Amino acid sequence: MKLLKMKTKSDIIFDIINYSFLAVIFFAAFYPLYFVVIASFSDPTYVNAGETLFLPKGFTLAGYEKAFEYKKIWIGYKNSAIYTLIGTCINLAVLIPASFALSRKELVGRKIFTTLMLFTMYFSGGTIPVYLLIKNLGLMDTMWALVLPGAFSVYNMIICRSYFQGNVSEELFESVKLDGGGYMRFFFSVVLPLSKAIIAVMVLYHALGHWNVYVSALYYLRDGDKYPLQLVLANLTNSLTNSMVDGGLGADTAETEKLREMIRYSTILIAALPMIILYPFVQKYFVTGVMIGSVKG
Amino acid sequence: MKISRKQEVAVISGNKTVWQRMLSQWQLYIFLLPALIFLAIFAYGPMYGILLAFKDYMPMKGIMGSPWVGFKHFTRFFTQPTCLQYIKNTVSISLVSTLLSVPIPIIFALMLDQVDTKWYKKLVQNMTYMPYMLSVVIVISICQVLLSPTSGVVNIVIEKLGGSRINFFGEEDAVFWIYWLTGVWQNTGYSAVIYLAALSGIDQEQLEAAKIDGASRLRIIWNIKLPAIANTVIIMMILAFGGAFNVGVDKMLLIQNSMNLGKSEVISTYVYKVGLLGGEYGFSTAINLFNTLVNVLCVLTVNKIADVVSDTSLF
Repeated sequence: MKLLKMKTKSDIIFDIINYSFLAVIFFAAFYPLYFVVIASFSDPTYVNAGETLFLPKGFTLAGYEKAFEYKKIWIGYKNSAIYTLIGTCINLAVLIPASFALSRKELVGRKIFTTLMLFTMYFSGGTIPVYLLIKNLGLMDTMWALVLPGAFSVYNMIICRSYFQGNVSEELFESVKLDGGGYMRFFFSVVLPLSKAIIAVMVLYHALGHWNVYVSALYYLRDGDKYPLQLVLANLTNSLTNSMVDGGLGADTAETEKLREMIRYSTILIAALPMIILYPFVQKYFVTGVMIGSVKG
Repeated sequence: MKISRKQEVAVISGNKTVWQRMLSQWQLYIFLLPALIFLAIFAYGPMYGILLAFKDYMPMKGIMGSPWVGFKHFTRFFTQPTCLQYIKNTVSISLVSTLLSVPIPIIFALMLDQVDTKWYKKLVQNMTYMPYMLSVVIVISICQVLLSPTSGVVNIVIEKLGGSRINFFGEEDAVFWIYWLTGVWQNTGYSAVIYLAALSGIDQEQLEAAKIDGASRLRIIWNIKLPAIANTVIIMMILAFGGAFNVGVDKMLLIQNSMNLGKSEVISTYVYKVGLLGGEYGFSTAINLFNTLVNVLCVLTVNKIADVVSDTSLF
């Protein structure tokens, strides 16, 4: 054992190079967000002079104060929260039972159903046909246009299915049957309690998807009061970058230019904050999900 | 109760008709029903709209009533001068991001796997994994502020080093790099997780035996670790190359502006523009259909190649 722990000279060189490279990678992953944080708290004069590369300078909250005044951000927050909550509930209600059914090998037609589902992963009607469908169903400009089309995710079904197949033993089903129960009772009293891990993973996957939704909002929503946060942020960044809209800041002076810069930094952070706060708590579930998914079903 | 017992016995012995078996599984079909309904409406429903690719859409007449025009829309797309440019942009952007998305996470996972210091390993892994959580909107917004010609930190550093400021988002050639590098930034840590999982499953005794035999670390990586994750690599490659003709329409629309249009207009953004913004439903659907078919062909080809070369395939 001691022999194995001992490091040769080449091992040490290897380690030094490896650790340094990883430090560079860490920095590359970390710095962009870190800089945005510093810049959002600093006086733009210093930011533009390159004096805030590692620490904030000229501490100010002006950017945040101004950003907080944008009602649209808060409306976006509220909308995104609602869409995420309702959307995720629908996802789970559809996904978990269906995955369970498809995990039962005795299901008649299992192969046909699975093929029909897999087909949709690679072939779809396309932008306009989906748009026309949503329009014809009267879903335009409602949250349902964001929530319903992707209500059932085939990819996640495959992950759930392989989880059920690997973690719910057949004997448990036999014992439920001996008690005179059917699939219904088996699912609710045995399978669900055994599946907390995968349910947590699925809640996260879907919630993240809904929270980050952008393109379908751009396609299907017209009323600004219904925009989710990402669309609000995209529009805001756009208008601030292109200076087309003064954002209610008044004339285009050096002062407003400074304020505009700060708002850009602070709005990014305001929008990213929920994810950054949640990340430490949820990241282990993401890893679990990837592991389950990697066991091909 | 007795009857149901009998049924179970019959299921096990398998001497029931298909119809009877289906009847005994009615509860499973109820579980499946919502998913099937959603698929029927939102995945299969729009497939009927593909007919539009061969029609001139007239809102008053609907999809069915609109007149057939054959391959008119396809001919129009393939003969317009910008067609080649859009296809070229699409392929360059998507192919390189696919090529980057396979080896980088593998190398990163192998490097991380060599780290004995637990806290360091965790720190690096968690930090690189974090950007995956952020939306494309946030990622591109960060790019815009960091690359801004007036206040962006990148330009400040360039200037400090003696260079001159670059308006990255106004520069056509920067478009591809923005797309590729943000992809690497967001996905490397996440994609590495799957390889790390495969690496942690390697038989420890085999590793120790190799060490006792005096194998160097690079040798162990090459001869033991890489072969151990080969199957995972192939599956990930099939998945990646299956989308090798796909450019994220959301990210591209966010990167795009009037100055960089020459390189940032790809098939998916063009489909959106002529269709949803321009109202040319038939033309847009035709281009979209072309894109979808190429994608399907990609998946099937890559899957076939993997099947022949390594006996690993998705279907």
